[in-house]
Amino acid sequence: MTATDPATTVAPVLRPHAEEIFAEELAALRKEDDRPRPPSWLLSPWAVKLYLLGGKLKSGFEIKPKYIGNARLIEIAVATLATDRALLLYGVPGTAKSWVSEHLAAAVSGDSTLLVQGTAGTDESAMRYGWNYARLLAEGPSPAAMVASPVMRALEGGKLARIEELTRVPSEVQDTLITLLSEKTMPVPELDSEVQARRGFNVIATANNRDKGVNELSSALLRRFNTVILPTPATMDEEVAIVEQRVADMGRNLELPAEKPALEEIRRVVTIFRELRDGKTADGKTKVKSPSGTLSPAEAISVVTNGLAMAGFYGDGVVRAADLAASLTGAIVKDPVQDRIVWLEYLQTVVKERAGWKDLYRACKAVLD
Amino acid sequence: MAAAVHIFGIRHHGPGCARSLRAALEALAPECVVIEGPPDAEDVLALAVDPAMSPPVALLIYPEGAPERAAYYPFAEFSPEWQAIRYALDRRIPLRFMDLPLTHRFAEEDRAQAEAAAALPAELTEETEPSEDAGAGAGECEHEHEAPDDDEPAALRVDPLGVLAEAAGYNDRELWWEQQVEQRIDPAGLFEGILEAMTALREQHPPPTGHEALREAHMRKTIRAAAKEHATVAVVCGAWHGPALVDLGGAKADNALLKGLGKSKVIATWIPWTYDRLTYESGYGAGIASPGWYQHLWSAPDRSAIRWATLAARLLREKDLDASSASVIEVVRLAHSLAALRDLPLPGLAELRESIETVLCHGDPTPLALVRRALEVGDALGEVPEGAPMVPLQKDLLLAQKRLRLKPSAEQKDLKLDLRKPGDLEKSTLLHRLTILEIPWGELSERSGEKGVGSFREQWRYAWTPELAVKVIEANVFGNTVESAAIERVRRRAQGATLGELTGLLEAILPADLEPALAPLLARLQAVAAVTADVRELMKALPPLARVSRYGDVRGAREAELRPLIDGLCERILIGLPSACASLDDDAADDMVAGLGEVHESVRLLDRDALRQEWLVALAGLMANEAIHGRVRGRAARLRLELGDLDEAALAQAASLALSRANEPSQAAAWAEGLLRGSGLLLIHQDAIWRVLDGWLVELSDDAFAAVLPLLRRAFVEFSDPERRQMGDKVKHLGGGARPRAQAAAASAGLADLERDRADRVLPVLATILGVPAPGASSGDATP
Repeated sequence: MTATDPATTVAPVLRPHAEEIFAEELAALRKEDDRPRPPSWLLSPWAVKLYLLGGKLKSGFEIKPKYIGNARLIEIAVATLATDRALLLYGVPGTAKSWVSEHLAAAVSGDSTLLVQGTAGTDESAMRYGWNYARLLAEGPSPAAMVASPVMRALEGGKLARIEELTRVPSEVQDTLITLLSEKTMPVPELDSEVQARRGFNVIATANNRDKGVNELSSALLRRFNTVILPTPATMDEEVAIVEQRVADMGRNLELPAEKPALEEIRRVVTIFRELRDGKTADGKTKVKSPSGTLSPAEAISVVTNGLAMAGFYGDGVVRAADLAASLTGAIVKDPVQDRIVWLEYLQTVVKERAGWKDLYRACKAVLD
Repeated sequence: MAAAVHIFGIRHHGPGCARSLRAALEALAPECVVIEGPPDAEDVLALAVDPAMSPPVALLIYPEGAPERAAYYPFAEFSPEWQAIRYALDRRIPLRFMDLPLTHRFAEEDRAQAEAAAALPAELTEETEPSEDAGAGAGECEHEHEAPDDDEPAALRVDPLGVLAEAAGYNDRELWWEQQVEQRIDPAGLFEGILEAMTALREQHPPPTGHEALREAHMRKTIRAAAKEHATVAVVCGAWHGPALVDLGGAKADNALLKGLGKSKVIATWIPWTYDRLTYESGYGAGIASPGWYQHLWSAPDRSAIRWATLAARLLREKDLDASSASVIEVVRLAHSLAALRDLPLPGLAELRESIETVLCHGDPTPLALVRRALEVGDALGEVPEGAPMVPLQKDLLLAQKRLRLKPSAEQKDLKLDLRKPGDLEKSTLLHRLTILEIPWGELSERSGEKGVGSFREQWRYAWTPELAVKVIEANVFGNTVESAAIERVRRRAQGATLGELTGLLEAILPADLEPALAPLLARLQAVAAVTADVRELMKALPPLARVSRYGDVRGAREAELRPLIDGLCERILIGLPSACASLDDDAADDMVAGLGEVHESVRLLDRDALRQEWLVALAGLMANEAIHGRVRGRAARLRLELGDLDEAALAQAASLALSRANEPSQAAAWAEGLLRGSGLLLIHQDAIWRVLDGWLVELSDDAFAAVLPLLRRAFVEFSDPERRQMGDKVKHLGGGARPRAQAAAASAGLADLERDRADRVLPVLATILGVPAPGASSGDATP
């Protein structure tokens, strides 16, 4: 039987976990890693650092960089986990906080799935444990009737738990972390028992400092975290490298038919994003207004990927200005009135004048009109 | 050669180096110590062991009579040279400095300068500019004032440490040196290693020439002399020079090189230094990044990370930032695991800094700047014993500082003075005198204290910097006490000064209480004012005089002394004003408008009826004279309006005349501009101006309006947005006469339509509320 009927074949998962995509790299690292490992760690801190920052193994095996930017930040993050302090990754949206957290968990515990997604509706059972009510009613409170949260499973397994968007979680739920992080235990009063953390347990939380109306961490909780602020890329080249690599990865994952976009197009997108973000042109000569969005590298990546898809499915397979224009405009114009003016002004004063950018100007104008 | 010469190549200001050197010297027990330093300073070296001496200090060497050309040799407690000096002096063994004496260099500079002066003037500036020492890292000596060595080959300027660090696979030469040398616990073999490395490096470079060669020749010469007398000689020098000093060779070549060098008389002394001036950022060539950290390493070699984290936490706590002991523990743990991750034996400053940022500051770099300033750099100011050679002015200043308890400190501090208290008055006087001497120890932070309404309060911000010591020495040429020097300085500045400068001086000497300088200065003012033909210049001189005369200061009024001077000045201004205002172009008119404002202020300050009348007459004259620039005439009208000399009708008449169509539109606009200039807030309340202007504008034809619009706009550009908005509102409500009044009239007319019966019923209640007798009267006078 051949897989011709789409209804019966199972498509591969859209986005495999980090530890699955990079299983080969992790295995190679593990094989060569002879330095001391903290308890329950699959790799030594040095190997974790190498996994994130990229480099070459002695065997000649190439490790791809997962984080392009200040290596010291990654060192601080890894050292924090090694001293079994909780790690808080902080920064504006799209600065690779979740990305770093996923890869750290994959490298340290080999498991990046112990994840709590923080929302305003996250309750205590997502951080601690819930109950299987059928069993609870039938058998009364028992360990078998408990439904463990990802945090609790990490606790038992000596693994890393990840909490995304910690500041969106209501304050009283955040507070459950305090005991967890200082006592390293989770009391279960219903059973008059507790779950004690195995060595290797730790928490990586991410939070963004751009959103309004979030629940700021109490100082008691903040004190239990080491905070690493992930900045937007420092230089143009760094940002281009990030976008280029991620676009290539995503193109492969999504099996887009277009060829890899020219560096020139990526550079243009990154230039526009940086200029709008910084409020001035790259040469520092012209002031421009900043739109309301963050314009992070993550958004640049999605613009280019989108362009790739457009070129692949509707164009001739080569990414051109017209393929980028729609998603570029969509990424920048978040507020239909204010941002539109900002974007138009930028097009008129900067893009139109720039040598060789006429195609982009025309394409973007066409989208706006 | 019988004597054993041991070379210790060091890096200036390295605590690890200093510790290793100290240990090596103790082990070697040399009979004589030779240090790379200026022999000119050997006389004052003994002071280094004086109990009152406390680093950071610097050797200051300058040619007699030219302290501004001084060379500094800073030492911190952790400088290897300092430790070598202390070692030699403590053991009472001979100590020599071996660098090329500065006396030769100053003489050479004198010669070069003379030559350059004889040659092109363009070269002069180049020659006198102190060039920064590029090879400062390892071997170069530390002068901020380095002689130009343009003949030095570029290759020599390659940073030797950088090359070695690169060879060892480090990007950061600081880091490499820190790990290899400063953090080394066991000093054995260190200096041999350094010497070997430098030898290998220098083999790649051509032998030094020029000044560099002279210096090394002199070093060898000094070592040879020392080796003749003593069995073991320890030589402490910048690492770079080490290899050149191993093989002393024959004396002949060196002597030939050193022959015929000029000499000039030099003076050497110690001055206090600051850690801030030891950093790169201060522009010091052989600087280090973090003197405070090095001091910490020196004073607390064990558990340095723990102590450092604690210090940082205490500092943050002092500034009301949370920093618990639990966090300090985490800082240290993180620093240690970071160090392990980076394969370092111990956490260094970078690891500690990152840990403090991550744990104590929650990733926020702002508090870290505080740590950087207060801890990593530090604000220590050294002290030198009183026995150090001092010029008389320095001694006088020191006495005054002691008497007034005004201690020099590197930290910037605020000082609030109440001039009614004698002690505070004296402090203020001292600071003012120093300001006159151009020794800016203190800065008056609120100008109002000086120029405002006779205030008896002054607020100073003061901080001592090492350069001030040099300035004190420089100022000594003016006199031996602060007071006499200040008086002399004023006298010299008064010579050839313009009228404006003289009045400025007058204002400066009053708070400095320089009574003896006053009479000559006034005489000089009188003389200069008499011959000054430029009315504008006279106008500039008036305001300071008026301020002094009106407010004087708490030290006593001076009106009587100044009155004749001011009267004379005013008379000359009033006489010269019409002709001075004639035929001005736009820029000159602007200047004159400013001048009119100054005189106007002064007239108001002086508050004398006769003067005021004369001033109004002069202004009226200006206004009426059609030949004068519109702006000046407009301004004159405004000033008269402000003094109440012009009523609305007169203004309207003047305005319609000046703005009438027969006039050139540009002149008419200039008139308006002159009228409107100045504080927008004041202008808003001048209803008359607005009504008059409004009337004029409404009558303009379309063409004429277009022509004056740009000029009119210009008259308003200097006002801020809110001011302009208010003005717009104002003019809007001017429309159709005074609307508020019209509304009031309408309201009173409305009263007639009231239903009196119903209104009357309310009155008793109102009367009760207001507490007035029972009604019966009409509603109009119900309320007083």
